[in-house]
Amino acid sequence: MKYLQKMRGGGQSPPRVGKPEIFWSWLGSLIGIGFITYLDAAIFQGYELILLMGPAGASAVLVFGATRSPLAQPRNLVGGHVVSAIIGVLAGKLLGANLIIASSIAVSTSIALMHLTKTLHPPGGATALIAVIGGEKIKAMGFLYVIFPTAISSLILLVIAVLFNNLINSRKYPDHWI
Amino acid sequence: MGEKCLITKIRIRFNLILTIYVNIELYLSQALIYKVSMGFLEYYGEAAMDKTADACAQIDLSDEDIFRAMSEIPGHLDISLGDFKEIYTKAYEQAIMRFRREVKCSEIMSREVLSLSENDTLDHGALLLAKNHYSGAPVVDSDKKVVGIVSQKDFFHAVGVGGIETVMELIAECLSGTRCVVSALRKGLIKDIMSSPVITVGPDTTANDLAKIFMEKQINRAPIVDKDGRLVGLVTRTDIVKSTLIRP
Repeated sequence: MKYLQKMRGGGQSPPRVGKPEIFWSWLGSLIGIGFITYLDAAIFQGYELILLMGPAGASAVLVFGATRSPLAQPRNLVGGHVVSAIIGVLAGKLLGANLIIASSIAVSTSIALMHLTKTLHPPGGATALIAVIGGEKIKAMGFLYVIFPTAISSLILLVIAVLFNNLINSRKYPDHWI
Repeated sequence: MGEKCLITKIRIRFNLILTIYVNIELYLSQALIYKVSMGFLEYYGEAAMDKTADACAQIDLSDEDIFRAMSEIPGHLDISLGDFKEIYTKAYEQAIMRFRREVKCSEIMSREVLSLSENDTLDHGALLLAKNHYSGAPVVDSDKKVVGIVSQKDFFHAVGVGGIETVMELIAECLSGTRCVVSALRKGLIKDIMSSPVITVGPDTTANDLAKIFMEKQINRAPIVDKDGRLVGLVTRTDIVKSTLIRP
């Protein structure tokens, strides 16, 4: 019975953020993703490298939309992506023959390792998964995937988040670095 | 008890409303400090009458309070109301525990203590107490060592028969019977009526431990003595309550 009762929830939904905050979240992520997309097209593609990937969009939600969140802090943003990318590439290389095992191990182990290293960052799960299911181009990159696009794009996002969020009175980013 | 609890809760909420205009860090710390003092008033002030009063010191933050506070803070707060409440409750308990652990008797005791000598006559002792508006005082020997404590209760005891603890009981006894012999006391000495041995504690005893002793032994004051048993101060229940107010 307790098991079923827990499913009812019962907690109260937190308040909606104010309208200015919504605007700042919108503008910050617009600039952040816009800049990364620009760099990707203008520079990285020329070197057959990728900068723009799905997880960056997810990270933008956190660093611009939930600036105060522990999940959005630099340690988590960069650390979570890098840890997950390493696990993802490893899983792809070692277990790639079986997609079910490789993808599930990649995501679950990333979460465990992010917990362990205090770098939990939800987009990391996507980073790990893409290393396994992202196609031949990603696979061919091997451990370079950890640097490009993972580490570089999260670092760029971090710089933009620090520059942008602190322009706004009501925001302070990061709360802590490490 | 119910009413007092309610008042506490209202005050706590009022304080919250005041402080949510400050930023979240200040908000947390101020509310905590306030709660600490309120909690202590509740604990020490009421516990004597009702031991369940301790439960009043528990947090009664409503979800609505937290919701409003969160609304005041710009930006998305990545925490559920339930989690906030849990953190708040636990942090408050930590603060209370830290507070109780830290305050020592030496910090809250009165140092200028009126003490009676064991060989003082009762009329002299009573006069001293009356003059200073004290209801009791430690008793020391010629070496300043604490040998007992004397209070209204002991005088009542000496005047009537055993079991008298309040002025009304004494008056009732005196009016109704022949056992009330105040004049006979003049010849007596303090050491004849004082409570001895007396419960004393060292200056490093925590206020919390002393509060427990007060409750367990049902006493109102304890002489603070040095290693040799000499009087260095006195802590009353009032001192403990006061100490919770003046600390930041």
